[in-house]
Amino acid sequence: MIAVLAKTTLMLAWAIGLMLPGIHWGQARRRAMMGGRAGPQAAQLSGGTIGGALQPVADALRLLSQSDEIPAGASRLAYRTAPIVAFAIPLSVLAIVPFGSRYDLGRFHPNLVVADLDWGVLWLFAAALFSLYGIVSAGWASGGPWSGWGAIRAGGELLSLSVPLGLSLVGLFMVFDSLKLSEMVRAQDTQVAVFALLEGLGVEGWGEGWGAPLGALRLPAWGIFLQPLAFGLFMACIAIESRRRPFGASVCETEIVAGPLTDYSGGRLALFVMASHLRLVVAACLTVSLFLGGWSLPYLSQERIIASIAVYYGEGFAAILCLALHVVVFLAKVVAVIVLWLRFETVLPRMAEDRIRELCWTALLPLASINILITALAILWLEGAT
Amino acid sequence: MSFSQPLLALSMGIFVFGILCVILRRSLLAIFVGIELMLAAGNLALIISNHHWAALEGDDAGLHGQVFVLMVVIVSLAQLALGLGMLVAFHRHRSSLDVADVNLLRW
Amino acid sequence: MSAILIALVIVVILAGLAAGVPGRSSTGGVLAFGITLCALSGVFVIFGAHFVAVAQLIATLSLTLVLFLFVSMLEGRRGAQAPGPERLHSRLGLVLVGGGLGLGLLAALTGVLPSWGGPAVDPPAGFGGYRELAGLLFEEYSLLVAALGFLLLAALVGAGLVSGRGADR
Repeated sequence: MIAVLAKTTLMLAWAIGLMLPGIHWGQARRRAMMGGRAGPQAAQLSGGTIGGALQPVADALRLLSQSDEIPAGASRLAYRTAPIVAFAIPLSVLAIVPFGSRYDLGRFHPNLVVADLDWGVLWLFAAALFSLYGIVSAGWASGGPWSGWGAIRAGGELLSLSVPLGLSLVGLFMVFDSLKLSEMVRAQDTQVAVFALLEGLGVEGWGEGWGAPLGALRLPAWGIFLQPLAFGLFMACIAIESRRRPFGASVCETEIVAGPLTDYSGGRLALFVMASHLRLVVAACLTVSLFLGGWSLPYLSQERIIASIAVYYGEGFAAILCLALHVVVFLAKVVAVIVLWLRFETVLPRMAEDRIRELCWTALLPLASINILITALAILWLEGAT
Repeated sequence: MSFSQPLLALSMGIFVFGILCVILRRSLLAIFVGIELMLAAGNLALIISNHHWAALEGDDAGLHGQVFVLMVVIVSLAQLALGLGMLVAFHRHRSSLDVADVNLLRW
Repeated sequence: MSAILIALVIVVILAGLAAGVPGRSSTGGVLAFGITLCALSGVFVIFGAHFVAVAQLIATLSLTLVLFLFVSMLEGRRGAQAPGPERLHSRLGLVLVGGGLGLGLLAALTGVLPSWGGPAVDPPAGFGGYRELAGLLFEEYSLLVAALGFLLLAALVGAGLVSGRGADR
């Protein structure tokens, strides 16, 4: 119980205290760069600029100091609860993300996942639909025309999105044989021989002589190498679900004046903005855990790290060092994904809402099905070979 | 304490609420809600029975109840899809969602 | 602990039903119905059937979304006031049935009714696991799964045709 509380506190502190302001600042900087104007790093304080690090604080203070108004035609209960739901649901998805592996520290055996559920990834699918309660009820509750249209758009996108999101990960479930995120990451801690398929094809003796380097070629068993198509599909689906550019048709300013968020101001709008950044954090964490190896270093599995350090410093200290290393690697990967994402986000143009739905049903869904088919065939083939 | 009994009573209660919804509400969409409530009540009863049976018999019981629940969920979604399609067609024809307006086949 | 959870979930379900069923506004009713069924998935999780709980949750949420969108589009923004029960004796019937139900539930919860001696033991370890379910679905119920696939295909095509948005969209 105490362990869960400690892990939850740390995770919340990292996500809300560190990542949200960081994303806000990074987004402001990136958009300023694309717009050819001075970004937050040009703001002069009395002691000079500090890289614009106070930009998120300034934005938060500005929003919180606005007066708390509820529009006249609003449905009060839904208007008040919508931002809370929109903020809480992505946070709950962070609970299944493994920040590190299981370690043996003598008295403690920490497992760096808040909720190590057997069916963990299924909660992601449920949460993707749960976020509808946030945005759609916000749009409906505001009672304005733009909010209603934004809610309908968001609802249509979410409906089209759920099926490809689920199917794109089924291939990954088949390869890693588990629905537990921590087990999936642990399975990515090893390496695969790249040309193992050749044995399945019955080609004998290809590993000797000048073919030896090919036989020794090993890749880390990351999801992106085992399921490249699923990686692309999942990135597309999770980008649509995050409702950020280029898939922000439900909240785009040029058409429907902020959509469901039109009538929100002050602290509630701050919650929605933070929820949007939080969805980016969650998307990055999931991408890293599912496809980029999570906390694992490429080519250095946990046993190798602990064994090599334990020679000098002993088992317990080696485990602690490995724990710290894994957490740092995970956080670095998440930050890298977010930086890349922010870059892509500001460059790509916004997709029209009917084109998003068309993309989901006519492109993502068939590709996900084909991915499942190919994965199943490959697994059966390889299993038959060995 | 075993919770099977009050939860079975709850399942009956949800079923009765579903029937009330179908009988007493005039909006077609509320009637859909009532149908889904009845199906959900059945799901609850199936899960409780499966839990009861599995706890009594151990591994011989199997998970047939949960398989039934999955089937019921899928069938309810299919029924909803078709029903809402018909509702859209009806709305286009009569511009109303009142069940009292569904009277075209009356002599 | 699980007693508190179950009591909480039952309260949410009853509140959702009370708010949704005898209401006048359809949008509020649909949201309340969604909350009711999500709490029902909570009951499934407490009983250990996790995979089915998530399936029911996903179905519930998509259902609520679709119904909500339909209500807000077809009945006007903010839900036109759909008329409630129109005759007095149906209101009386509602009160009687609701009251009887409430009393019956109260009796069952407080144990006044004779207990049927249900099991207080836990089900075996694989209960609710997706592997065991998958085994059953693949071996014993494979025909049913295929038939359901056909059913869904028919529903998909039929819904498109019936609502008038044919193949040219």
